[in-house]
Amino acid sequence: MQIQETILVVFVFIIIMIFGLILFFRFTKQSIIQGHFENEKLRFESMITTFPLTPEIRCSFLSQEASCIDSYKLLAFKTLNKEEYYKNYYRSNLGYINITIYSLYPEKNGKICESATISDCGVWDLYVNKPKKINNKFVVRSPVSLYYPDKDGFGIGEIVIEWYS
Amino acid sequence: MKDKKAQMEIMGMMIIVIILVIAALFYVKFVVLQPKKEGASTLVQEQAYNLMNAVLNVKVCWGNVSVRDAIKACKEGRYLLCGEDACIYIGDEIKTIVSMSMPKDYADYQFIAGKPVSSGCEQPFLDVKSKECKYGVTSPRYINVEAEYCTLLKLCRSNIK
Repeated sequence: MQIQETILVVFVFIIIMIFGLILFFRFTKQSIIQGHFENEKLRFESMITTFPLTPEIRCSFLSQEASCIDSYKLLAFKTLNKEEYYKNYYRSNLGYINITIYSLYPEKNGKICESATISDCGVWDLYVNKPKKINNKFVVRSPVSLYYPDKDGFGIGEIVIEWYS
Repeated sequence: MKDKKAQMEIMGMMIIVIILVIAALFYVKFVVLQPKKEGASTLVQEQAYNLMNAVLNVKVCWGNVSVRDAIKACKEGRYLLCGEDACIYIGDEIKTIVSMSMPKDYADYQFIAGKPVSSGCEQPFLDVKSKECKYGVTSPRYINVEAEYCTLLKLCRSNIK
């Protein structure tokens, strides 16, 4: 009888332990997934600062880098992105995001910038990579300084980065 | 005697259960209910700084003078820009530029140029604002290369006054 009681106690204890461990691992797994998501979100948000600084699009004067985006380099970046090798390179680095720049000042212009329309356009769809299934979509935007080499003037644009998870 | 032992075992089990519950509560408090990090205001600060930088780059007066240089002219107080008083001219230009480039969700702003001091930007000689912009997010300050003046841009949401 006493042995039976001990076995029962140990059995109940083991059940509680297993239940506790399952709960613990569930919470741990969830917190790891949450942590990964938060990190990715942070990385995505920091792109507002880091992406305009990439040498591919940042403007420079006599090799001196400046805090603006060169509108001609944007077009070059867009063209570069169409080549398979670079497409894969950026896809592995940037992931599922869309990057678009809209001109705001001196004027808003809804025309998409291509080589043929470079003097009369205001939208640069730089990078587009949408997943097949979209669970969440986050958008960050920030003003940017745009440099127009043909006019040697500056304008203001808005960079919009959409992140899909 | 046997009853007493069984009671002791139940007590032991109770203690284990209580310890497990306390551990679970601690876990929930410190891991699951962790307070969210404040990232939103940093992002707005970044937006405000980027907008201020973009405004300072723009060339005014038929593309001859940058806003950066025009503010310097206003500070020195002895220049005419495009036939107008430098401070009045650049104030109006900044108003036009900023109002056309405001980030979404933000309607009001305040642009200040003043004297750089260790704690911030004081004695403003140029103060441009849309409406009353008391409570908002202020950008980190910009100080020009010669450290003659500094600028700040504050962004306010339209519904917060």
